[in-house]
Amino acid sequence: MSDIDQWIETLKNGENLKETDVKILCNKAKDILNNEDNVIRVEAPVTICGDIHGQFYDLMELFKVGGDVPETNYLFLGDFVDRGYNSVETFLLLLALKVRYPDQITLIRGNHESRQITQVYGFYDECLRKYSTLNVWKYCTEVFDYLALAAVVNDNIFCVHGGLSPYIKTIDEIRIINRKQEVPHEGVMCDLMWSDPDEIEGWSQSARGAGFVFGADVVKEFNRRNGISLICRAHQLAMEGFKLMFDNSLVTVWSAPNYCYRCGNVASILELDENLKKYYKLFEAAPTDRAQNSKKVIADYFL
Amino acid sequence: MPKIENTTGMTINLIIDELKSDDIRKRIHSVKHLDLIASTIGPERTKNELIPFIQELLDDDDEVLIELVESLSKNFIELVGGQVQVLLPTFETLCRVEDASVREKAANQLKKCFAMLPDQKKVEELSMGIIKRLNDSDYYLAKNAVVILVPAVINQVSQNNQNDLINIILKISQDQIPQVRKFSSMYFQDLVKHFPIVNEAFIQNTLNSFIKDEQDFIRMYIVDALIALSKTAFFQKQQTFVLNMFKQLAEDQSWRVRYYFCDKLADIGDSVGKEGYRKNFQNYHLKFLQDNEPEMKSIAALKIERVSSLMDADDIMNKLIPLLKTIQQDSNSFVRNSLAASVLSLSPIIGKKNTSEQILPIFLTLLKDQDSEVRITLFKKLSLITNVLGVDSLSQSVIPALTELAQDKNWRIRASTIEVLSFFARAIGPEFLSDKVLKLLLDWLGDKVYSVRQTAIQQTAQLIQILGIAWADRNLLTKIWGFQSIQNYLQRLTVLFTISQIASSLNNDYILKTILPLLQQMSKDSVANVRSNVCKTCILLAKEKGGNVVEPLKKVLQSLCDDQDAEVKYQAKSALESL
Repeated sequence: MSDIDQWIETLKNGENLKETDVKILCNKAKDILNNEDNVIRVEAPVTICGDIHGQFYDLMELFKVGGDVPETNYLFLGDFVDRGYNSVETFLLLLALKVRYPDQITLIRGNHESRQITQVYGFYDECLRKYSTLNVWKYCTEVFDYLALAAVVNDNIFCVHGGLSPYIKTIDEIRIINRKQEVPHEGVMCDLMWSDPDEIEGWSQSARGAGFVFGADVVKEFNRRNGISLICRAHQLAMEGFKLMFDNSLVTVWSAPNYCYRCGNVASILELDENLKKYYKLFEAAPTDRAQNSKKVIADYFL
Repeated sequence: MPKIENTTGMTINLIIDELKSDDIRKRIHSVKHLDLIASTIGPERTKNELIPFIQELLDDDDEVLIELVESLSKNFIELVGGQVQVLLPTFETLCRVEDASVREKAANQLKKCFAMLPDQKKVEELSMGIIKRLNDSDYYLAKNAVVILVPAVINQVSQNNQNDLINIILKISQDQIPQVRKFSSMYFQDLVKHFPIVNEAFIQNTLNSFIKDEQDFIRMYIVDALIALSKTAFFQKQQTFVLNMFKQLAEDQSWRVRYYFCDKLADIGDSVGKEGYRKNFQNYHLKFLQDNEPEMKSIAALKIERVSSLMDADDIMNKLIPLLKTIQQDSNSFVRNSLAASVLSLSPIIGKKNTSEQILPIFLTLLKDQDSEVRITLFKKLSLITNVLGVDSLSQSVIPALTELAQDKNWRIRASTIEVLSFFARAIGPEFLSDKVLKLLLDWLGDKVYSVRQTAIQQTAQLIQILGIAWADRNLLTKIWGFQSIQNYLQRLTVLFTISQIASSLNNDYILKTILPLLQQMSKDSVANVRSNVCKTCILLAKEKGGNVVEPLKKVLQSLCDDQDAEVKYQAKSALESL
């Protein structure tokens, strides 16, 4: 078995990789991600997944419902880390799968793939607790900088973590950004990771303090101008797993069931077949067994 | 001496330095690697330098101490070259900490050290010293270790010391603080094994004081002590005493004590024998089945499986089974679930006629239970009743229940149901697999959840192994091969997975006639995932079957060597290379 296959096995068992292996894995991932565009062109069929937030055992559940990589193609919309207890295993498994099957899995960046945010919401602490040094956090946050910002499926479905930006009207304008940096506090790259849709007209300030809020008319115009039939995004909790808005021109997909281990929500994945037919598959949190850590640090960053 | 490899990426000196770091995380990291340090510096330096150094660390956070005791429990006896006496002070201090798991581990390590002391004559002196110091400590929780250590050494010390130890335990058993009395109660079962070193009067007095204790968690553990006693000569001399005390516990007003008693019922029965059980305890079990607390009914129902072997068949028929009829309708689903887990175990004991008249109705009622967990639990024990009544008679009544479960919202229930269906199919044969049942199987093969499809494929493969390829082809396979034209690629993959799973049942003619065209067709599929799985299936078939299928399969692989998708190309090429 090659190294990468061994790492995938180890991670699937919920065990940690050696620090030296993490370094090698992250370097390999950077090589692959480096060659990807800011906006990745993905071909259907593909299964789109929303926020995971370190809920590793629920990610296992997701694979049980949607199928394993590489038999099933996946597109993850970011927010792999923070809040859950197993951000390290979650992110490293997805990276390992990306390195092993680069054409079968696509990862794009979420607002939590950031040095600043991970220091507040748990990933930094988890790395320190599991490895006693900061190296793993450093390697991972460097990889974050290489993640693409968006994806388009069959030139028809636009996928991004947060939402749109008032500074751009076309998808092509995203392609010219320099993305290999920490998520900025403002600007197009920031808005794509942070914005939210809402029942308003036009644009408005966001309560999050980053990104904007945009309404149905903005979506309609963006879709028309870019030949898009649907914007698929994540970033906001959807109690029923997914939420369609604006006459089905935008959908929020949320893949972290029982979010923060207490919201009691259902999760979903959006399966697109070769003809872009949509199947929303719902799933619940993995049944708890002794798989959880015996010594859980109860975090105070659950909002 | 075990040589441990340094995979930390740090030098040993750095690890040692960080034992005293201000940063707790670094201290924990170093403590975790104590065995590495010890292994590197060798047993002499470990004894003379490392262990005394560790003594200074013992005033640390619980988090560090938990790791420390873990680390020292690993292989430190070897790492100090067998000279365990140097470890004693460290473990003794660790017996005085707030964290219960650390105390217990440290006390158990002390036990191990005593057993491995190179100079066994020193055991008495050293152990008495440690026990007395811990007992006299201001910190009352240190008595936890005392009750663990006393039973370990009491048979190795002088008469005088034995009396001292017994007095120590006596005082602990009457301590003001309930938690301290609890220590004594919990470990009393270890002490009574040493009867008659611990004499009758002491045992009886202590147990009498425990049973009058107002704390139920102290009364609870008497059960274990009594079970231990019944295996010693004490039981012959004081049978009435033991049996009476058991009865008091069974009638205790705290349900927790009754629960603990009921949980250990099988062990109690084994200790006193069938006659003893029937005379003294059977009625309590029957009473528990009617207790007010659902927890009690639940544990009593669960225990039916084990205590039924202690009862005689008449009592089961006349006294036990009438109670079960009420329980099968209990409002609490956990109670019904416990019943489902154990009721079928009565079938082999009461015989065919009685099972048919008494157990079958209960079975059929639980089969329709509104809680799907109950139904699945029942199915897991199916063979117990089918062995007695025969599979055929049950199969018809089971089908409606299976059909309902097959569509349950919870995918795990759907997956479990497939296994049940497979059980019947294997036992009865093709007649069970009517059109209706086959349709269920096909539905599962097309289920929207991947894991359900996988379970269905595996069970199908098992069925085909038993029923043969000819039957399968007529009734099932043609329909599965039809999946290749389903629009959704995930469903098309089912075809390939199935072929791989049933490979051992296929003969080469069938492969050439039916499978090969399928593979050729699917090698032109528009989706790369399908094509790469064609490669995987080809190589599997070629390797398993060999002979005249290898060449045609190779051709399929060759056609995929120029595929536009990188993964497909890689799969095709490496498959050809391995042939």
